[in-house]
Formats: sequence, C-alpha cells, structure tokens
Amino acid sequence: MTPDPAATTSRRTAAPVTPVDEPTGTGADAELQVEADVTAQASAASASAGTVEAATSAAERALHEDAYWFKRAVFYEVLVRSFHDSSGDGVGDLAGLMDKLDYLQWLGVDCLWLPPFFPSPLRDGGYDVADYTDVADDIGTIEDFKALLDAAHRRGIRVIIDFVMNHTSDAHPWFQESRRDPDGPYGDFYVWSDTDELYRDARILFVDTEPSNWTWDPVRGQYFWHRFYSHQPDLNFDNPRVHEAMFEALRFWLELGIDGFRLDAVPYLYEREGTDGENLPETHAFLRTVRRYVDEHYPGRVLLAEANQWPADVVDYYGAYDAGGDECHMCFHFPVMPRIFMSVRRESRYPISEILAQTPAIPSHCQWGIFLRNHDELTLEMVTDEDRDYMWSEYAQDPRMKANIGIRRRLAPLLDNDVNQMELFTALLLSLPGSPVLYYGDEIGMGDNIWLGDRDGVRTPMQWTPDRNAGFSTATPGRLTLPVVMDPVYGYQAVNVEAESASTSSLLHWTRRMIHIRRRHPAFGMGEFRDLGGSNPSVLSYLRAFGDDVMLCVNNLSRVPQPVELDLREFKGVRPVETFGSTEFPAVGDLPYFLTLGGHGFYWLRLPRSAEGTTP
Amino acid sequence: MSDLQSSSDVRDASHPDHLAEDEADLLAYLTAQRWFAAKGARVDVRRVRRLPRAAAGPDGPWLGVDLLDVDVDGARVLYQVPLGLHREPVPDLGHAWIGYTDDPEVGRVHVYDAAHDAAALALLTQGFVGEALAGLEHHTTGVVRLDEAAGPRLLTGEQSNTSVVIGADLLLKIFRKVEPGHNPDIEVHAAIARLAARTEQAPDAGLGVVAPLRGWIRTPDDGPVPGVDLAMLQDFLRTAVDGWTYARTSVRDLLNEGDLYADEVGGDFAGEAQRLGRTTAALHEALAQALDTRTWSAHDLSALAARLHGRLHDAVAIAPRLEPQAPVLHRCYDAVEALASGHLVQRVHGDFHLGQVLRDVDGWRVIDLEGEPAAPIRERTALDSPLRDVAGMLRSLDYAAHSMSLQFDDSPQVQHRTLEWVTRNREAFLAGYAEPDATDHEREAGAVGGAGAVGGAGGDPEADRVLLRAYEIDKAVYEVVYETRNRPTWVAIPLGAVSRLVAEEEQT
Repeated sequence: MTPDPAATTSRRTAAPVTPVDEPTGTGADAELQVEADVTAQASAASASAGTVEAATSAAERALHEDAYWFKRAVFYEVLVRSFHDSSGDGVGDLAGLMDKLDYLQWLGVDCLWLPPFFPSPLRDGGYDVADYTDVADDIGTIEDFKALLDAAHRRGIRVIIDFVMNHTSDAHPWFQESRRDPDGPYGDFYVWSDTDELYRDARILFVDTEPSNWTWDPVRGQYFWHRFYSHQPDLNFDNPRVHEAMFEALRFWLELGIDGFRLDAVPYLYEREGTDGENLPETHAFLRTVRRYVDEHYPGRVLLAEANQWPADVVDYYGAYDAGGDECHMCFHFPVMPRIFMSVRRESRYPISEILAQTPAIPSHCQWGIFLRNHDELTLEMVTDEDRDYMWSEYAQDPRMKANIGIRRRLAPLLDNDVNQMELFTALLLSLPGSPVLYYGDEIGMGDNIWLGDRDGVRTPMQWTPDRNAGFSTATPGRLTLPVVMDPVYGYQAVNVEAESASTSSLLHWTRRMIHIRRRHPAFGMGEFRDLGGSNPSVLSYLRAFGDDVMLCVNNLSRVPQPVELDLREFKGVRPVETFGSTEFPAVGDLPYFLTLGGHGFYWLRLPRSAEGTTP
Repeated sequence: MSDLQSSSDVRDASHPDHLAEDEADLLAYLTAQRWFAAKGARVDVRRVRRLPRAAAGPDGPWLGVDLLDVDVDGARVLYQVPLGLHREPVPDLGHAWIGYTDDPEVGRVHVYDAAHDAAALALLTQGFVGEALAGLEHHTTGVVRLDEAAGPRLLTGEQSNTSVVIGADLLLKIFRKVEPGHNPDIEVHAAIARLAARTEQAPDAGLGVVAPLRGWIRTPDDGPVPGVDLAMLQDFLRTAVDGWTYARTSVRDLLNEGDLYADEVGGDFAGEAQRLGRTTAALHEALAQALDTRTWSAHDLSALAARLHGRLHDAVAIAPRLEPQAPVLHRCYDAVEALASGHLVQRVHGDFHLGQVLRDVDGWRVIDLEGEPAAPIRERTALDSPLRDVAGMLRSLDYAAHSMSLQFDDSPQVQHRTLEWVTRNREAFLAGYAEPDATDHEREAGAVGGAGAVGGAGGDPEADRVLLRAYEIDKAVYEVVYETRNRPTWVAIPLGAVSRLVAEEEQT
C-alpha cells in the first residue's frame, strides 16, 4: 500500500500507512521518560490542566511528561506562507499547514518551528514585526493558530515560534507613538539620541545597506538606534516598560499553548558606550529573567537562541553551567554546516573534527540546534570570523568554496543534486551532537530559484504534486506568493511529495527511515560524542553513547571508496549491528576494526554492550 | 608511515653454541624484529643483563627487563627487551612468545615480549602512579592518570622503537636500541615541557607543537645497567593521522580529478601545508629557546661543505646516474663554503618528514624528536641549521606526491599535475614557515635569533636559499642511494628531484 501524505485533507483520522515495517520508537521514548524530573512532570501536568481545555490524546499527554524533549527532538522549520494554501489566495496559511500535519507526522518530525507570521510590512521576511500578538491577515487568525496548535499536539508534534526581541518594524504602533510623542507612554520605548556619535564600537551588521547604526527621524527630530535595517528600530531594554511589554507578548503565546520560542538576534538587546554592544551582561541578565518566568509558569517550554557567534561565545547563552543552564535551553551551532561542506569538499574529516573539538561543553540540561540549511543565507564570513586561520588558508584560497556556500541555495543544488551526498549530509546532521533542524522541502530534495531577489530563492512553495502550482494552491499561478520552481531538474513535475511517497527508494522515504532510526536511539539526542580518529583522514568516525545505547557512525567524506581501521578496543567481542537492515557485522577482535565504505557512504552501527546482538 | 620504508628482510637467527638456551631464544627473537636495525649483519649476544623481576602476584605473572649487549659486525650495541613471564602459556600471545625457560629469579616460565603482553605492560605503567618497581625509576612531569578501561594496543608500522597505546590517551614508547645517557627524545620533550611551564603554556605543556611528555622510565645510576633511558610516556593523539597519509589523500584527490588544477580541486592541501610550516617554525623557536644554540664559524661552514662533497662523491660511486649532474651539485656546495659565517645553529628534529608529523583536531604535532635513531646520541644531538628540517619536509612533500602518482599512469598529464601539487604545497609550507608570528607562544616570548625563517625577518634570505638548496640536494642524493639499493622502482623520484634542482640552479 502506498501512503498518500500529499493528500490535502485533514479529515483523515489515521496517519498514512507506512510501507516500512519499523517499530515506532516508543520503547526508547518510554525509557527516556524516566529521565524526566518527577517534579517537573507534576508541575507540567498541573499547568496543562489549566491551559488545555480540549480532550487530550495519549500522544498529547505524553508531551507534557517530558521536560527535556528538545534534546531528542527532530525540528522542522516550515514557512507558513510557502507550505500550503487552504484559502486559494496564493499565500500559504495556518489552515493549510494544519492540512499537512499528517505528512509531517508520517515523516517523523517532533517539533515545528514557525518563523514570524505576525502582522508585518514584510521588508525582512516577517522579522519586522508590527504586532507581537496577532497573526498576519493573509495567513489566518489567532483561532486558526490555536486550531493548528491543538491539531499538532494531538499528533504528538510540538510547535515553537519565532520571537524577535531586539527590534520591531518601524510600522509597529509603539514606534509610531514613540516618534510622535516623546513624552508619551511609548516615548522611551526605543533608543533615541540627539547625536549619532554614541556607541561607535558597535559594528554595522548589514554593511551593504546601512551606513550607520543610527538613522535620523525627521518626525521626532532625533536619531534612533538600529543594529539591523533602518526600518527596524531597536527596543530600549533599559526601559522596564519594554520588559513588561515583552513578557506580555511571551505570555500571550505561552497561554495559547506553544512549546517554546526561537529568540531572534539575542546578542544585541543592550547597548553600552565603549563596548561592541554584543553579549553584554545586561542581555544575559534579561534572558535569565525570561527563563525563570518560563520555568515557573510554563515548564517544559523551550527557549532557542539565535546567536550567530562562535560556539565558545554562544555557550554563554545557556547560562550557569553548574545549574544545568539558566538562560536558553538551546542555541544554534552555526559553524557545523559550513564545516560539513568543507570536509566533504576537502575529503578530510578535520574541518568537522576541529569545530567539534573547539566546541565547549554545555550545561547538562541544554542542547545545540544544528542545521544544514535554513531560510537565511549562510555567510561563511560570519561564522568563521573568529577563525582567521581557516579563513586565510581554506576559504579565501578557494573561490569555489566561497561561491558555493555564502549564497542562497538549498541543499540539493548546493550538492549538484547528488543523492549520495545529500544522504551523507543528512546522516551527519542526524547523528552529530545536537538536535537537527530540517528545512521544509529538503526532505524531497527541492531546488531553489536564484532569480528571485534577496532570500526568496529558498522560500518557494512546497512541492506537493506534479499538478498546477505544485499542489500548493488553487490560485491562478500569477497570484502565488512566490512562483513554484519550474526548472527541468528541480521543478515540481520532477520533485514532489506525491512522486517520492510512491517510490520507496526516494530521498523522502530514505530521510523518513533515518529519522525513525534516530528516534529509536537516545544516544543521538542525549549521548556523549567521541571522535574516534582512525587511520584514514577521509573517514569521519565517532561514537554516540547514552547508557547502553552505543552507536558507531562512520562516514566516508570522499567520493571514492575508502578503507578505515578503528580502535575499538573497549568493545572487544562485540558484534556491531548495522541499523538499516539489522545485519550483524564481524565481531570486534584484537586488531583495529576494519571497514570499507563506498564513495560518500556511511554506517550507523549499533554496538550492543553485551552478547544480545550475537547470533545464537 | 615513513617515506623511506624498506620491506623488511627478516632472517632467521642462528643459535650460536656458546649461548645459554634463554639467551639464544632472546637473540632469535631480537633478530627477527622489525626494530632490529642490523638486518643481514653478523650478530652475536655478548652479555645479557637482567633487571629484577616485578611480580603481579605470588605466582606471577612477572615483568622483566633484559638488556642485551649485542655485537653487530663487530660493533657493540645495547638492546632492551622487556619481558612478560608467565607460568602457563598465554593463548593470545603466541606471536610474541620468546621461549620457555628457567628464569634465575622466578623459575620455569613462558617468556613473552612485554610490549604485546597486557599484564606485563600494566606492571610497567603502574610505576608511574603507584609503588616504584625494583630496578626501574619512573619519572613524571605531573600527575599521571592511567585509564584502565581498555587494554593496551600495540601500534604497528614503527621502524626502530615500539609504541603502545595505554588506555585512551597515553602512549608508551619503548626504546629498543638504548645507550647510557639521556635519550634525546625525552630530553627534547622535557625541555619543551619546562619551556611551556615557564611561558605559562600549560595545561597542554607541549606548546602546541609536540604531544606533551608525561613521564619516562630509566634505570637507576646504581643498578646493574646504570643510567639508561628505557621508555617515555606522552599524550596519545587519539584523533590523529600522519602527514604522509594525509598528504597522499590530497594528491589522490587531485589525480582522480584529472581536469582541475591543484588550486581548484577540493582536496587541496595548501592550507594544511601552510599550517605545517607554521608548526615547524614554532618547533624550531621552542628548541632554540629551550636548548643550546651557537653560531657557525667559517670553519664550520667549510666542514659542512666538505661533508656534503664527500657524501656526493660516495653517492656517485653507488649510483653512477648522478654523475652528469655532479658538477652542478658540487657548485651548490661550494656556495655553502662561501657563505658569511654567523649562521645560527640549534637543536633540530634531524629526521623530519611527513611521517613525523601528526594532524589531529588541534592542528599539527611533531613526533619522534630523537634525530636519526640509528646514529649514536652524540650525532643525534649535534646542533644544525633548522633549514635541514625544512629541506627534509620539502623532500617529503615531493615524495608524497610522486609515490602516489606511481599508482596512476605516467602520462604527461599526471606528471604535470603532480609537479603542480608539489610546487603549490612547497610554497605554502615555506610561506607558513616564514610567517613572523607563528604562535602566541612566539609572540609572547619574542623572536630568538631568527631560527632560520626562510625569507623571514630573522635570517638572510640569500644565505637561507643557498643552504636550503644544499640540504635539499644532500637529502635527494641520499635518497637516490637508498632507492638504488633498496627500492629501484622508486629511484626515479629522487632522480627527478635532482634533475629539477640542477635545472633551476643552471637557470640562476
């Protein structure tokens, strides 16, 4: 039987039947729930009693019993405007996303991350927020959002949303009031100054478009401060009323039942003379306040920080190490993806091994978020700024690297549509330390449209079917929010969910199998990471271990077959089991363990601690 | 691992009549080992000196260390063989079995090479953390932590010593050919550790250029074999791969590609070569600060030139194909003699090539700081120009590329790409070596005497060029001799290098 996750109706009650016979991973889940703090469970349950009114499903109840869910979750970033359009107006909407939850459940994702869907002039992809507590008209209503949230929870899927603290759109009523009435209630909501000479040490982030961090406002007759675009004035966090306004907005969404926030641009909240205005102590203090508030009133919800800084600086956003972390639960690890790219290009494990070795330990209750691509372009300049050595000797010398990575491409075109490489990259993403964040469409190998301006090239509509508008919308094609990709290689007639659902050898099915294998092994989310080195520099090998769950991951970064010898002394006598087909490999003996891999091939081998894996 | 590995021609040892049974067993084992240097020579054991046996329990097993005075073609050499002594045979150790003998101290036992024997190694390493063993001195640079989770692992591929991984992250290097006095490997590592402590570079204590020293084992000055360094304990670079393997990976990638240039292909090594140059410079800086230096007089330069000329004469006799090029090569050596005196010399690596550097997650580390192990300690610790090491690495890059291209065809395309790789990575290595502020350590400590930075601030670039050229030629000539004798299929590699050096010299 062929599943039909592309179906546009949500009336279906059962999840699509999966053609792959696999356990659902509940065993591992049950095991992990023991981990959860008992008091946290109790308070989560009591909190949920007040906030969730609808009848709860078993999957939904399970959500509330696991305070550290984010350490094992697979996240899926979905742009509402580009996912599915239920109203036929050409713009994806919340109801459309709800229609596709069966597909996402079938795929195996644990948590959706929704970038901003708030009212906005959309001059910065919605990150220019004009109202923190409403939904943009073309996307739906608060009721639609609540319905989506409840439908997701019923399927055991969590939802986190973006929250932009640092600045608002200049269209936000607070800013309009602030510029109109300096003495009014919002007069001090933003950072105003008679001079543009202050805070000179703060670098300008968008050097291409912004000559200064100060812009003159003719209405108020003063300069206002902005770390990003001049249409995004920074909020004044020295004003306690701004804190109150932020908490009010956070509370609004938490009361609706969301599972957390991705906090956008957190390093820049405060500005102080003589500093670069990044990572200031005041910023950390504010985040600790937010964390305390969330922990007290909404336990189990997660804060995920976007701090595009070197990992050694990012770890500060987890907060106190000994306390297990008292700021954000998660932070993005930015350099991983370019290092994966560089490693495969160099056919050398060192770019990846190095960055992981340079990544400091994080507090016990925290987790990295890692990704291959997201809605932003990924500039290698930003992530390797601290690493001048690499800049000089690897990146600057290699114009192909620069051309391929600092740009707005999706994974598939970045890898020349090479399925082996896409699989290797995904296998790395799903097995390296951190919770993986998938980007919508990459699971089917979607392409991009480099002719669209800015970052829209990677935000084209999800390709569901080979039909009109790729099944995304029933609107006249000209009305679509962004045109669907139509090129011969990546166009929707060639690449779509329907076709890939029908073929079990597709990238979609492969990705799904990988996600489900990952779910069965808590080592990936919770386990320690140990680089094994090995005799061959083109092969990256590491152990992930959590209790008795030990996974050996071996990755051939080269396009040609490779042998490798691994030091597995501590596993002498163990018979590794390959996780795709449960094939038993030869037992580990006295000599280094010898493996061969095809070009860009990889293994996920389970290392049973005892004799459980041996043939009788 | 080495770029000059020979296939071992193991020869069964005879059992000379005058030896006791156990001595004959030891000799037979010794001469069959890869680390035994005098393959094919006339060998005899003169004397076996035994250190006191250390017992794991009342009925063994025991650890023993036997020191063998061996006559090799008439010259006296001292070898050590640490032993594991067991009442019963150990099933997994058949390959390391030396004999079944009546030990004077513990009676009838099966004797094994301790390097293979986990029980004997445990006794040997316990000395670093616990009670002293009779007859051995264990020295440490700090607190040693032995991780007992995994048994020891013997490393293969080593030429002259025996190294065993202890736990996850320590390496015990057992010197096989020993002599009274301080082993240069320990001496240099210890000096770097002291320098690191002085410049507050701990906790690494290797200054980022070597794997830090943790301890060493020595015989007491009042024992039966006084004052001999037997083994050293240092950090094991768990994630490392040697430079020889790594560089050849890059060459392989280039030659597989075919239609891309060396600077375009993904597996480009230039970044690594540059960092390697930087690490080499940092090593030389550290050695210059930590150990003796002096300047060369005109007399020293004459003596050097004379040695170079002499070696070339000998080489031409063995490899007559060098003869047409000899006049130009001699001219290069004459230029050395004509150099102004005052060149700073110091302790150097002495046997520097890609097999002596490891790449791990922290960058490059240099290993085996003991000079040419076959030479006597006096020669191994002689001061020399750091350009000798630079030349060694340049030759090694050439070897890495051409030895890989031998596995492809000999088309002009392959040859061209190979040379392109060599040129690119030579330049990158030299550029890295010449970078003025190679490490924080150097910045803090200040430059010392311009330790031969090629084209750098400290040295005279022209003098450097002349000397570097001479060392490169000397090394290539040595390689021609070596390959002619041992590996004729590879002789084209150094011959090609000699031809290129001559052609360049004739152009200038």
